[in-house]
Amino acid sequence: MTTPNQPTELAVCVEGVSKSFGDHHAVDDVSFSLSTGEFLAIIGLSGSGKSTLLRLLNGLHAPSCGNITVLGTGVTQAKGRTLRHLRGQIGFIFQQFHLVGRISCMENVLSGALGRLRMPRLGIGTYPKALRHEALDHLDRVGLGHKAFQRADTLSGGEQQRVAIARALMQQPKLLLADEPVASLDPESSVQVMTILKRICAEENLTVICSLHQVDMALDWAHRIIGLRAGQIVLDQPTGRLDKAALMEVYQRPPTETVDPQHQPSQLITAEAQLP
Amino acid sequence: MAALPAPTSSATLPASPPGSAPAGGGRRLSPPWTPRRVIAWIAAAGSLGLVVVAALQVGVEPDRLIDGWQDMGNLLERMTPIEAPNLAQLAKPLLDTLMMAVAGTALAVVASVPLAFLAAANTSPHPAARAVARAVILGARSIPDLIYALIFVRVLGVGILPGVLAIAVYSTGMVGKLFADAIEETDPGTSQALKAVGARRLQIITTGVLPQVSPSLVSVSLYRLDMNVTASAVLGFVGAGGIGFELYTTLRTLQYQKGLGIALIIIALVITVERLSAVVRSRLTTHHDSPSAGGPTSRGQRRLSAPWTRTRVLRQIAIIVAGAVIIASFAGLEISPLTLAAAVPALFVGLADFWPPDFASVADLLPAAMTETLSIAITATAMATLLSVPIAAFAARTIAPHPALYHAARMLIVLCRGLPPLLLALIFVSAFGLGPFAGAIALGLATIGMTAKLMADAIEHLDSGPATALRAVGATRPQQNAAAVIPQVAPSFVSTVLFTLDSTIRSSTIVGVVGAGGIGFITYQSVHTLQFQTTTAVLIVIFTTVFCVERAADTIRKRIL
Ligand SMILES: Nc1ncnc2c1ncn2[C@@H]1O[C@H](COP(=O)(O)OP(=O)(O)O)[C@@H](O)[C@H]1O
Ligand SMILES: [Mg+2]
Repeated sequence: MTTPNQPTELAVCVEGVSKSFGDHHAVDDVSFSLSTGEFLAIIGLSGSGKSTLLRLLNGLHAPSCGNITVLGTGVTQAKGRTLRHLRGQIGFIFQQFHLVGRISCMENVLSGALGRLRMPRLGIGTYPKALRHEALDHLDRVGLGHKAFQRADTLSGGEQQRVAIARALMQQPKLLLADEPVASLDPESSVQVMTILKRICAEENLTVICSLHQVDMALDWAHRIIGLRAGQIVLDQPTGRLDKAALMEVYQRPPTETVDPQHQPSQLITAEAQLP
Repeated sequence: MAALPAPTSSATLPASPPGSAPAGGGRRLSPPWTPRRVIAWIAAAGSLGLVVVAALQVGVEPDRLIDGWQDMGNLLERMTPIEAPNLAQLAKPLLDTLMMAVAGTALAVVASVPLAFLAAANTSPHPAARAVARAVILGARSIPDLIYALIFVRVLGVGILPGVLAIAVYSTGMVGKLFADAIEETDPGTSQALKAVGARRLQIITTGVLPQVSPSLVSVSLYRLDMNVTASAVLGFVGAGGIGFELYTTLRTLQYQKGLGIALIIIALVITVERLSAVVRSRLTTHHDSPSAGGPTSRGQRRLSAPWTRTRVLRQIAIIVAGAVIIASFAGLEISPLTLAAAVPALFVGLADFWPPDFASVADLLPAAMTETLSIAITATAMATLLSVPIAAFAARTIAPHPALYHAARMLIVLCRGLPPLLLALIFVSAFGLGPFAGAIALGLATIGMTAKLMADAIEHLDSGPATALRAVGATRPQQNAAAVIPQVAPSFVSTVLFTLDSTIRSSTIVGVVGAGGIGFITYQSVHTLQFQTTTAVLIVIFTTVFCVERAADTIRKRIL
């Protein structure tokens, strides 16, 4: 636990993990592992548990049961300092960007280094010069060096997501988690963001897990696809040899759901689990 | 005065869902009596009844009102011609009043920021810390500033320091609550993103939360400052420094002509500060788009910190000016950190005399006094509401019938906001004699500024779509207002009325200090006769009442909005 950076083949190892909210299983007995440098896409309908799974991986959610090891550290057991250190190594890209709108892009990118700052430095205006140079470089990599001092909320959606990527790069991450990074963008910005993401990951040999809800995107960008349905893995194949039938299954609604759209899927899923 | 029922819609949809038809077979032509609708009607009837009872208790009767007009006329006669006040003599107390407000507000802001971060659910490190911080904030704002001043003057002696501390303590409660609310409303996603980066709690606050709340921190503080100028103008009534003392002695010695002169100067001061603060606040909310800047400067040397744009320079200047004004105020009042450090222990030693509370000595007086206080507040609220609705209709740019009327109404609102309630109470006591009638009328008038302003702003912020649709249908202006404006604005009016009640309750506990009825007189008496344990008992009652009314108003507001 004290040396979380042991070189391991596996970047991520998930064993029998479930997460329930109340009596509703958002993630249900999921296991998979991922080697360093892989680009994994997670696909599934809205509500299938993609976000929950990603949040489990960096400890924003604690699993109800099961074990998660990321970059050689047990996420489940990690607390306080260890957990912060681990999170520092995992970049996380949100669908809604989650930038601080009222401050500049530069300050937003710099905030990615907060995990590396020593205590008297509280962020905002206290970043050392070396970090500022680094932040500018990352902004250049996402093509926004010229907007460094513009307020983040004056940027377009695609640009904001690129700033968010630069913020994640600022962490010097080993693993990048992206939760539907292009779901709120127009097609053109989507391609731009995904291209940047893919290029940077190749350059840095980053391991990436990216949730997407369109299959074609996943096919275009990923090495491997995991399909989730009602919190369970129903598909896990390399992009090259994808089985169409299995793919269809990912996008099938649970059978009873169409009967009563008002109803929360919680009972449906438990009912389904009881089927032989 | 309370919940207006939802208007009945005259058109029935052709495809009404099954089950909505009444059992009798015929189609329902008016909305069914849902529990919500029944409650709304009961609440409306109940509040109306309450207002009538309260008004009778306060002594609002037809002949009294007619006499009142004559009394007012007599008073005005005695007050005119206004004696031009001796400005050279008043300059110092006026400046003191202003500096007290600045110093008190500054202390309150400094105290509230950490308290608010402890009290906000999303930034508090521990539930216990949160509970304590919330209790402190709640306690501080549940006792009016004038009562703090009354007590602090007793403990620390007559002077400016008790006045500043009274403003500081009360404002900490008011500002702290608004700060905490603003913090709780920040985007949780941003904080979560920084948490995912591996940031500590304190870093998340400074980097993620503070930039989001800073505009509202500034705006809340400025708003408080302008309220505090009004407050500090009357603290002199109880010996806590400033212009209030001159005014009090003048009116008490029946020099009405001179008194009105001073009163007008106070109103002018309050209005000036209010305008200034309003201008700065509106500057804050209008968003200046900074030009895209950055990239390489000369010769490939890259810029590492933000360029000095106009906005940034202006902001820096504003910060320096604000700092200078605050320091000058403390210096002008001769209050140093040492003075404050010495005052706090003295205050605690003095407050030891206030424990334990002695309910027995006032048990026979309290129920009647508290009922009278509540009656004053309810009557004043009803009066303010009745008068504010027409004023607001004129003062809303979107529905005002004529620009001249709009400006007149806005002017009236600004004037009313400048009136310290206690000053009006003192004047009305001179006109109508001692008692709750003077208090209720004074508070009713003093509150119009706030109530009408909130109502007018609510009308201006309405979605203009429905009214336009009705205009397209050929509806007249009054029809548009009745069908499109009133139903849309009703919930926010109810909320404004509750807000008014909340504010009049606080004021109604102090008008007794100048003899305008209610529990304030008992408080004043007990402090002056050194029966401090009785004071504590009275304060507990005030605290409980203010707390309950605030809670009830909050609950109702959440239900309807
Ligand atoms: N914090 C939460 N509390 C309760 N239920 C949640 C929470 N987060 C997610 N869920 C539920 O878990 C399920 C999976 O959600 P999510 O992981 O967000 O799906 P996706 O990202 O695939 O759309 C949904 O049914 C959702 O309602
Ligand atoms: Mg999601």
